[in-house]
Amino acid sequence: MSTVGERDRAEAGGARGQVTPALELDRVTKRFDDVVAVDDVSLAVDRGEFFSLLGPSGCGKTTTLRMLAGFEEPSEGRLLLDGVEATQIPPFKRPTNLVFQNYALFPHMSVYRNVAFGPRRAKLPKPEIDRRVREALHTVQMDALADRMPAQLSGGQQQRVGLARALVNDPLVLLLDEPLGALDLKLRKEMQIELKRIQREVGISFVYVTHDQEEAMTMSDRIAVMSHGRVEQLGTPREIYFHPTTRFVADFIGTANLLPATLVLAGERPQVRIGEVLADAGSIGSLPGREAVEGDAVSLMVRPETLRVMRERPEDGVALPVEVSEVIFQGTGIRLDLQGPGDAPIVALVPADAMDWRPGDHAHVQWDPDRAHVVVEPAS
Amino acid sequence: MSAEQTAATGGARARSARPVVRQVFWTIHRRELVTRIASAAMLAFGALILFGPFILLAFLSFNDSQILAFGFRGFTTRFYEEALGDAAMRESLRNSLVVAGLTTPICVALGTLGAFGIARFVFPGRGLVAGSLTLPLVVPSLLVGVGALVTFSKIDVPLSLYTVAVMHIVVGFPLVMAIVTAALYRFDRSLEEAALDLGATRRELMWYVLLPYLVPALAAAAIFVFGWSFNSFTVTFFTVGSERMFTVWVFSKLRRGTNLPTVNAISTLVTFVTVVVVYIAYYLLRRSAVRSGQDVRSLVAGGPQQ
Amino acid sequence: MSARVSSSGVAFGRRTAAAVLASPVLTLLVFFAGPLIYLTWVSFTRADIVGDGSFTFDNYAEVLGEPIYRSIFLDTIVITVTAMVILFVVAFPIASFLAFRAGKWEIPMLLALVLTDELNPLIRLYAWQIVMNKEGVLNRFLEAIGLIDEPLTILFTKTAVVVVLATGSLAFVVIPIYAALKTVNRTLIEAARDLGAGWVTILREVLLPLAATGFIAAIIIVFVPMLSDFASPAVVGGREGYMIASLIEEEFNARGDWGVGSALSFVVLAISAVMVWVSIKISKVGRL
Repeated sequence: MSTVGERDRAEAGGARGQVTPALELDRVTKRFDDVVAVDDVSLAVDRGEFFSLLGPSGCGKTTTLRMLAGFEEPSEGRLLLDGVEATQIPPFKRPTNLVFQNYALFPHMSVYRNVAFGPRRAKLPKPEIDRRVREALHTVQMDALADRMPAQLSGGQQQRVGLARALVNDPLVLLLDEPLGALDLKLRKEMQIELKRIQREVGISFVYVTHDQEEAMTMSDRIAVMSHGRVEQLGTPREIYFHPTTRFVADFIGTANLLPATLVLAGERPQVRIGEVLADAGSIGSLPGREAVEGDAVSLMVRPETLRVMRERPEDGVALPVEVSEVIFQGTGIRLDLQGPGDAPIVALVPADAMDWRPGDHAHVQWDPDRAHVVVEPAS
Repeated sequence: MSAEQTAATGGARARSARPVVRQVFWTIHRRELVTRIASAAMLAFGALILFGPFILLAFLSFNDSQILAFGFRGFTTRFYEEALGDAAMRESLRNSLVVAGLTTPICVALGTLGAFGIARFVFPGRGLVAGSLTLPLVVPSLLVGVGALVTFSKIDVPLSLYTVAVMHIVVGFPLVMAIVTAALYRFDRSLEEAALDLGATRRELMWYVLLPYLVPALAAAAIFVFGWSFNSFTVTFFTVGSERMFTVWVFSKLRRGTNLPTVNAISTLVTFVTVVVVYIAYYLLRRSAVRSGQDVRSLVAGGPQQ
Repeated sequence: MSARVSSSGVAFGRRTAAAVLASPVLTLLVFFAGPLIYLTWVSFTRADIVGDGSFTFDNYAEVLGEPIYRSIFLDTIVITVTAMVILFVVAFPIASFLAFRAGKWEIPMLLALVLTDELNPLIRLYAWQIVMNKEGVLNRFLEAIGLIDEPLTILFTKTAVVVVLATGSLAFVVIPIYAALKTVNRTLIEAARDLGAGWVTILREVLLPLAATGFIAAIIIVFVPMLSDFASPAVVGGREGYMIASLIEEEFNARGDWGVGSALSFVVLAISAVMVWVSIKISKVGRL
């Protein structure tokens, strides 16, 4: 099933279209014995783009990254860097650099010498090395600690040094392997903003691997959502959030309410039937290469924050009867776990000062049809 | 909470509690106390058994008495003068040190090569080669010594310090190999990938990342194998011919008498030097291990089984 | 060619592997395998015509048949096994103390243990001879505190050899067990206690199986060399503490009967191999 690949290769020229992408994967597959870790993946990363590979553990994102770095060789397919075939090039000759999850700082070298490692291998003149190292350390705000040893640094500091050590080589693409995974929440959020700032400042393409969808959404220009070695969907955070093409993507990103439905009308203004009710939707995300056909079992996706919950049945518009099962106060809002028709679970997010809800209450949910989206896959 | 604090507050609580509870309370604490006393006793006994004899030797070496006497007759260093004046003894010491000094670097070189060959390559028969290279450590030293004896005789090679050195090398390098292999297996792969990623060729990777990491392990291996060679008896005994080496010299002396004050003196001296060397080696090792982010204990205790 | 970083680290070519391993393997073959092979040959020839002669089983027949040899083998086994048992019994508590409860004393104590390895074994033998002598320290001490009336004969007995063997190898037994125990995650034990396991259970289920690996290492590092040790019996064993290694040494040096000597050596090798195999089996059972 290579249809995702085909569409994405067309899309893969990316946002900027004609300029040669910094990095391109062309139908890359990686097999380990009988396990297919990466299955026919194609994508392209533009210059200066913050690109994320997002997915659960085992989806193939790390393997893909390692192939980009040169630590794994594709079983099939090609890799191009700056338009040039790079599939066979060893890691020390590639214009890529990797930031490791466990930092991988050389323990017997100071911060300065760690960062200077790359330039030294490139045999740059000493003053040039010093200038670059100082600059890199300044970018990550580690100037003052240049003479410390890695063992004396905190996790966040080590991560910055790892970043500096990679950036100092001015790579074509920076590869990041879940770099914030070992940090605590608050630090992680700070570093996310830091990373984004640095990326903008430096202007280098970033390929960022993570399983944290919030992280990917916060930082990326585009995201490739992966599962079982395949790219399920490739798009901007908005596209992925509001118009997921598969159930997996819808479920993985944020909370999705996927209501089982039957397709009545395909096209620009899709329409589905849920039980007895006919509902309009704002968009339909079909699996590329396979058109949605009337009568197909599909899912109507409505995000929790777009639902309105009310006691009385509204006079007009589509509404579903529900029963409240849980009421959870979340600080920024109230999460209502509801049971819809056919016991389908529905999650709604309502403002914190909304009406008093209790488990067991009966209510109705309604949403703006323009914000509903049809996913051409059955709900279960 | 330390035991003292627990005991103190516990004691206060115990005194105010009912008699039955108090009894139970003290039973538990008594058990803890007994364990502690038992541990201390065990350790004291262990120390006595391990080091007592050497301390005794030291005492006797300064005791001004030709025969074995428990009472202290007077402090003297004449036995030391006598011992150091003994040409045969000096020669045996020198020979042992020279052989150890010569064989150690060769063992380190061979052992490191072997370790790399086993730990960093994959080829058919690797297990077999790895196993074979550890055989000299497992096969009884009697066989090694005796085998060397008959073989050298057969091919008309006279026994000398060279034959000793050769056999020391054969049994010594697997020792180094075991230590270095263990260190290589402990090495963090992501450091290698980082180095490659940053543009290091494989040669540069070895030189700038791997070797600095291995320095503590290599140093520990060198110290171990030097000590092994100096203290080696069985293999040395059969291949030394008429040359003198320290351990064999002590053995030949032992066959003659019980208390030999000059032997006491030189033994104490050698023991003292050994202790000093081991402590210095430890401190140097610890510093270098810390500098490259490793745990000293794994160097010491890590061996074939780790 | 891409530098694939395989699971064993950077994988170089096969030819490099051969180049790297050439010298160690060659050294092994020439100076280790060679002599052993020749020794095997010698064990199948008679003493008077070493090297020339006809192939014969006589040496092995004598060694395995004659009762004198058998009794010496038996003595040796008794002595060494006793020493090993004492060692294990003593080493396990010490190793667990070191691994779990030593705290800041752990490294100094480990260092002290390692130190005992580095001390010259002949010097140690010499010292023990003085201690165990009829007029020696131990007897004087026991007399002084009134435990005995006349000096015990400790020297030149089997007991003397057992003592010397045990004390000489303590570090080599403690350290492998310590290393194995150190791999236990502290929290595992705490979890077990939380679930109601008493010390005996923890010992049986967690600690002993772990110590099993150290057990095998100890057998190889300690027991096998004991069979080669003729210095200890020579210095403190006398007639009663005569061991197989002493006999082998005698055959080679005093009697010049290389055939019998080498046959004996291979019997020792066989015993060592059996012991190693047995200990592996035992530790596997212990692990169940």
